[in-house]
Amino acid sequence: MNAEVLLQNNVQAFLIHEADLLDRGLFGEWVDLFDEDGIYWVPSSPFQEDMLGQVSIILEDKELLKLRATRLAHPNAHAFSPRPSTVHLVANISTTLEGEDVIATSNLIMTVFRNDKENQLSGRVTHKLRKVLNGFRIQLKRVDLIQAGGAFSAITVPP
Amino acid sequence: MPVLTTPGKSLVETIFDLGHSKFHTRRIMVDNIDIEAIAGKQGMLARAYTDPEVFKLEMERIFQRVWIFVGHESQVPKPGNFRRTSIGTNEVLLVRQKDYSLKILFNNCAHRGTRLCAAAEGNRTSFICPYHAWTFDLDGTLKGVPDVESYPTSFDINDPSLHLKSAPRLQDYRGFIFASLSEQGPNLIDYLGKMTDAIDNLVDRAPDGIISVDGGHFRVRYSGNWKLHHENANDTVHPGFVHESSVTAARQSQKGKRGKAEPIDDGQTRGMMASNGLSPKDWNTIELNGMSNGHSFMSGFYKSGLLAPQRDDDVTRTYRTALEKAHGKKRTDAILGMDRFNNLIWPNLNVNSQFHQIRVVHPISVNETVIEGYCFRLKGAPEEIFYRSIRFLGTLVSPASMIFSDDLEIFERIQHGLENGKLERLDHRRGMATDKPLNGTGNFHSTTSSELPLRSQRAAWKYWMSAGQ
Ligand code: FES
Ligand SMILES: [Fe+2]
Repeated sequence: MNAEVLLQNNVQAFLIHEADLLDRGLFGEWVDLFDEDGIYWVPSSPFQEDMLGQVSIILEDKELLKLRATRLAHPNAHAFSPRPSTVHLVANISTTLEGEDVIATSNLIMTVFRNDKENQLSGRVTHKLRKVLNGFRIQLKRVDLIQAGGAFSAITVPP
Repeated sequence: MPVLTTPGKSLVETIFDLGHSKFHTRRIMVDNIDIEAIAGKQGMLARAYTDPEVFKLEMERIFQRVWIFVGHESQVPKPGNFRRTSIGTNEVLLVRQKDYSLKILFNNCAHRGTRLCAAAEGNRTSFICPYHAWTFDLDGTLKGVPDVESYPTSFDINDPSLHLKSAPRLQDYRGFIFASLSEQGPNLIDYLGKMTDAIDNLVDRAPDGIISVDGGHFRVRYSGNWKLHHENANDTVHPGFVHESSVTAARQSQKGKRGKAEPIDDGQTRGMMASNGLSPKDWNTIELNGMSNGHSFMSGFYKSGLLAPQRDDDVTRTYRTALEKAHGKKRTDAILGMDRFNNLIWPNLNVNSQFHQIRVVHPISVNETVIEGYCFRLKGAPEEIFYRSIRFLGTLVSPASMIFSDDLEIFERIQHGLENGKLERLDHRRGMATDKPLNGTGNFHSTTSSELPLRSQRAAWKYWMSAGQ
């Protein structure tokens, strides 16, 4: 296997693993995928460039993500009880190198089913990944939802 | 409505006539809704939240008559700027005129009713209908009709009935624009009453005296009645229960992780989450004010966090200095010291002066509501203050908020419970015996965990639903 194909395979395996953790509700382990100074970002509007000067659906560092995971694990997280079933479908993956880091772009379709209702969030995802021993750590995960700007119902499982 | 009805009678009513009294709460009196009975004395009937006929009447009697918040002046700064919004279920455009005055126009064509602007906002020199290109001026007058010669002589382009319908009354209070679809009614200042304080305070917090909506916004939807939002906002008992999961998580993290870097918001989110951990003792330290015209507010609530009045850091000090330069020290103390949370202007606005934000309630149907959240940039304040407002908005009003998502869940459970349960009348009596009248004002205040705000809202509801019959 040449280096490019190998990288593509490894990134794909990583993204599939990440999606799997989210779908199995293993949010603590999902947060562990982030680098210590990693950021998870779901902008509130399409083509949002400003992280601080504009509201975001989610803009969290690792400490805040841990908080999010802890809250979801609480038995009285009402919006999460009963727990929604989700599937994160990750596709159209492409990878490029940026210095030592890897930029992976993918398309996401996330279906959420809860209380007999089905909901869908879709978007373009950009991962900035740092190579570490045996894998990657997330420096930045950015999810640009096609629904951004529209009216959302409550979101509990991260897209 | 059920299909099998005799004229003026629904199927449900027919069943009721046959003596199935358990259907009483589902009874629909098509032309004769009993407002007195629905409002009740101890709480409203469940059908106030579930009956489409009641909702229809609310749109007519409340949303088409009272002052409805339709936007802030900064959202339409220049002639030709427009913004789509709604007054109840009516879609309207807020339009800046050539002479800089403002107008509310209904967003549908006078020819055959097509929606004019599909864009949420923009700038136009005129509104051209996409269907047959009737052209309307910014003020709604009809300017042009293609092939006008083919119309009979009775068709007069200057006939006002061919112009876009507009709101007969529009008034602003320090940049906050309200419209009324009724020719008559109280003037805006009288209607707002004591709530002008909240708007004053928000504007006064800008050292240069100018605020503008900025930093994007949220639109959040829940499957529940529009009244549930304002009823919840000044409910002091729910936070400890509804937000238990985020309170616990925040407290745990405060214990374990002290000193860890939180680059995003320096503990603001965590602080806000922890603030909801109110015990029964805390409920009774929050002061509530309820006005007879439906408005209400509570005293300070978020005691920690980047925009809390107690905050002291470089940014806050720079900001304070700028304010003192504009207003002097004494007045600055008064402005920054006003610690009021959730200033609810009935029926559709929530002003959080101290955190530079507002929420707007848009009823969609009897069991569907959209909440919009906006924040403001304060002219003359450090950029970092603006970032903090943005952060506050994100933490509290994002659909993914660890706090708000639980409120939304409760709204949906209430709606489900009322639609599918057996409760005939809700109970709004908490604190009734301890509410204190404020002399001669018709307003009340409470230092207990009172449902006073609900009773205020109910009183306004009853007044407007039955007034001017
Ligand atoms: S419907 Fe607008 S021009 Fe015909
Ligand atoms: Fe709440």
